[in-house]
Amino acid sequence: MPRDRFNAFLHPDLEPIVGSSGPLTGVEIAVKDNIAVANWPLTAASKVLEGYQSPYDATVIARLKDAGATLVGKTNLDEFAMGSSTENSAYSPTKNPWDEERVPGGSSGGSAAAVAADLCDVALGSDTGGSIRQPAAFCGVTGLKPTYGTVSRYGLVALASSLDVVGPLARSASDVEKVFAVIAGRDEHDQTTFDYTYEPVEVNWSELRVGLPKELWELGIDPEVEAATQKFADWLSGKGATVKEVSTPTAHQALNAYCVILPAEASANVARFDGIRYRASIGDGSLTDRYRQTRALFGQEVKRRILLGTYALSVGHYDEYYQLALRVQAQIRREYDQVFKEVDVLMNPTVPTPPFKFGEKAKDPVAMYQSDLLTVPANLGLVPALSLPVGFTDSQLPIGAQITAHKMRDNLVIAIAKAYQAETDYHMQKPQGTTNG
Amino acid sequence: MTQVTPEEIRHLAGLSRLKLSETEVARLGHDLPRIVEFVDGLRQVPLTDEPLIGNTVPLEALRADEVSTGGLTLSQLQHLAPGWEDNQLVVPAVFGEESDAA
Repeated sequence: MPRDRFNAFLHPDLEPIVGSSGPLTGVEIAVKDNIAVANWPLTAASKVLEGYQSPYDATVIARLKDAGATLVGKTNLDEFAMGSSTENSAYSPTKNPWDEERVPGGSSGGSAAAVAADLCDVALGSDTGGSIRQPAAFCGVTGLKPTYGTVSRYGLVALASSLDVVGPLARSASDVEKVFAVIAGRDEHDQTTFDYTYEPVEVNWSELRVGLPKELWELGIDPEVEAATQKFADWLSGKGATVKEVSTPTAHQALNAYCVILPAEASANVARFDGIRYRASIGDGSLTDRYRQTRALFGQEVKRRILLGTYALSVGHYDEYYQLALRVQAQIRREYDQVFKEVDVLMNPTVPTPPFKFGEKAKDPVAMYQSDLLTVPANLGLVPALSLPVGFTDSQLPIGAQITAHKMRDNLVIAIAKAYQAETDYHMQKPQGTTNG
Repeated sequence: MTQVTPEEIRHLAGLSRLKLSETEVARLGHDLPRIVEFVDGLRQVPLTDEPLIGNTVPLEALRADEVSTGGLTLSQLQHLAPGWEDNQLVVPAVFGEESDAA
């Protein structure tokens, strides 16, 4: 894939890999550069992994190749998937194809921008706190965070292993479905996976119960985002679904818990980048000196999260923060068990605002984290959630809505999105200056 | 607001094996208290006394015999190695005479 003007793709000299024949023959798929493709670079957008090539295929990649997909290249991301704007990439940010002064979201910003700009049919992303859905909403495409454990993480550069999941982004829910059906299922290399075969369903509108979680709708949503998402709720109601307000009392504090759990796991996961096991290695003194000098290559956000994780796990703070965060997570999971007895799906905006400008949140990490306010609950709950385009702002910026269901009901969120997209064309609209745009 | 002193930042960086410039220490000294203050919102969550949810994977699964699926080939290893000499990996010499007690 040659270099593109949005910097969606990294490593422009890669030759496409054409898989064997199967259900994805002819489908061009881009791969987030934190997923291993044999003999291709794997940088996770970090200088620490510059020059490293993966010796093996991630399980999801092996399955895509077997299904006939064509892998077209690797996409940009926030370093080690830590971020919500792709501004943390060590290889320059990706631009949003709808407005090049704005971020595409993150961390799978390169994947979302590549789909939006028509540079591929589908792209793989990874989602730990919203990293598929938030950029999907910002770039006007469809993105699925599958149920945790349905898709293997083998070959994914680990961020927070208890939350990480690989999933597809595409223009349509129908293409998301085709790829998810191929990559899902138990994998002996990942013991968090379980027996699962994707089975499509039809929506029974008269029996569908949709909950609008009031605590999330009250979080200062931008008026244009709220109006477009409410219109989607009205469409669901018009199809015959029962739409009502529900309560998930702890969901709006999921981000607070996430800001402890993620750094705690991430700081442990990136400990492997020590100047010995991977190519980057700086220093000529002791082991510790080499360790510290090599890790100075990490970007600011990675360093911030390593320090936060070390702080949260240190003596005196472990019970105060980490154990408390785990208890909040457990409560969120119990609340999902309860609310999904009352309704079949939850629906709310994917992100509280439209895409923001480069640098707008760079100096305020908490403001940046809050861009994942509405996506993080599904990660802590381990449940599936899908973002789909439901409109545009007056200045033509995409707006996404999120549908969340209980574990292993990925097929229901996909079916609802497919039905909506059969009657609307928000997902088919393209930015000016891209193919057909 | 929670205070995190430059000494604490340097201590955390030492535990994390991170080398920080003084500019970075100052920036993190500004950012970390704000993030900790945000995280402190956790204390307002009215928690029930129900226990933590355990592992989703049964422990016996973790103890099951692993199927060997082969490892790297010699040529793959050679390709990945920072250096290669006489069929051996060449890596940075890190165990010298200097003490490494940090």
